[in-house]
Amino acid sequence: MAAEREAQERAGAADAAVEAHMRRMFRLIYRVVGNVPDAQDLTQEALVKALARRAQLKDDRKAAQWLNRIAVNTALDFVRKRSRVTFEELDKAPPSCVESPEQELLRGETRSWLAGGLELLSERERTALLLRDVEGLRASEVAQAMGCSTATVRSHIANARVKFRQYRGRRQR
Amino acid sequence: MRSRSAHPTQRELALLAGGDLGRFARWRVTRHAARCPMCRSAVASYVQDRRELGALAPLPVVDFAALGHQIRVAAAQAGPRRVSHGRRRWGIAGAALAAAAALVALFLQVPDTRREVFPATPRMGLLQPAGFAGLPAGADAQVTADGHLSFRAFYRGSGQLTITEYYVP
Repeated sequence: MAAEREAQERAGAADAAVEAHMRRMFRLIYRVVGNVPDAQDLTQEALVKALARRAQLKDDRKAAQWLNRIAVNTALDFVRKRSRVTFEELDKAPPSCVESPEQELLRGETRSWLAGGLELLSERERTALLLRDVEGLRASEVAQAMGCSTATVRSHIANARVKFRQYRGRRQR
Repeated sequence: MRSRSAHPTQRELALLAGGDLGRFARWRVTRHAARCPMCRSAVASYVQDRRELGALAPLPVVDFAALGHQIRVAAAQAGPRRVSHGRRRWGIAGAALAAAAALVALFLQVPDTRREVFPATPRMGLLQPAGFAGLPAGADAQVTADGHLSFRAFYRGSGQLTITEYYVP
């Protein structure tokens, strides 16, 4: 009885851990690919890949970083193959948002404008920028997720912000 | 050596706006921007850009429970079976593996050296054994047959594998 309860608790804890990882990986992948259907498929692919490579993870404390990297690599591989970034979820608001029609229209236009600027970036610049400035990860966390140094991430972010600024300047003329 | 009047680069100003400069560079650029309206304005513009990127932050509604279920199902169908002597296999009929390995052996020269990895012929089409069903497209597979030949492949779907490397265990 006690063993059964303990097994159930362990299974519940494992499920909760998987769900937490899944949600975080989905967020990262969504930032890179920009639409829900692809992000869902890629989250599944990334987690299945991670489970198959479980033996590579030597330190369970670094599971989150390891999974983040698999997630971002999976998304970048997909984007490379697809060779074009689309942002399709521009008009959907989370259910808790209460906006006037004017606010909703303005937000849709803003997102459309932002998407145009992001398309000018390389995939790594765009990924670094979105993970840093939208997802709010620290530069070191972005570096771990992308499998590169913090200096490289800073370089990508700097390039991305400057290009974005130039894009904005052209639009305002 | 940088002159006192030299402006920071646009990259430095952009990084300052996000708090991404190193300590000394942050001190130097901040000190300059405090006395330079043009650079101060540039930093403010980069800050504004970051703020507007926040419009992308809200996530759309996702049914995570359904996604979690799909992942558990996919994981249960995939995943290697550990053989007792330590080699990993996908859950695929041994006869199908042997047939696949025999086909590969016709096209690949297996060298005498052991424990080396060799780049494989880029593309190889194989017949689809029944055991491939459930293997998701895009999955990596490590296939070992008869203890003589192992190869790593990328499952393209529709029964085709692209072999990426082979090695003699």
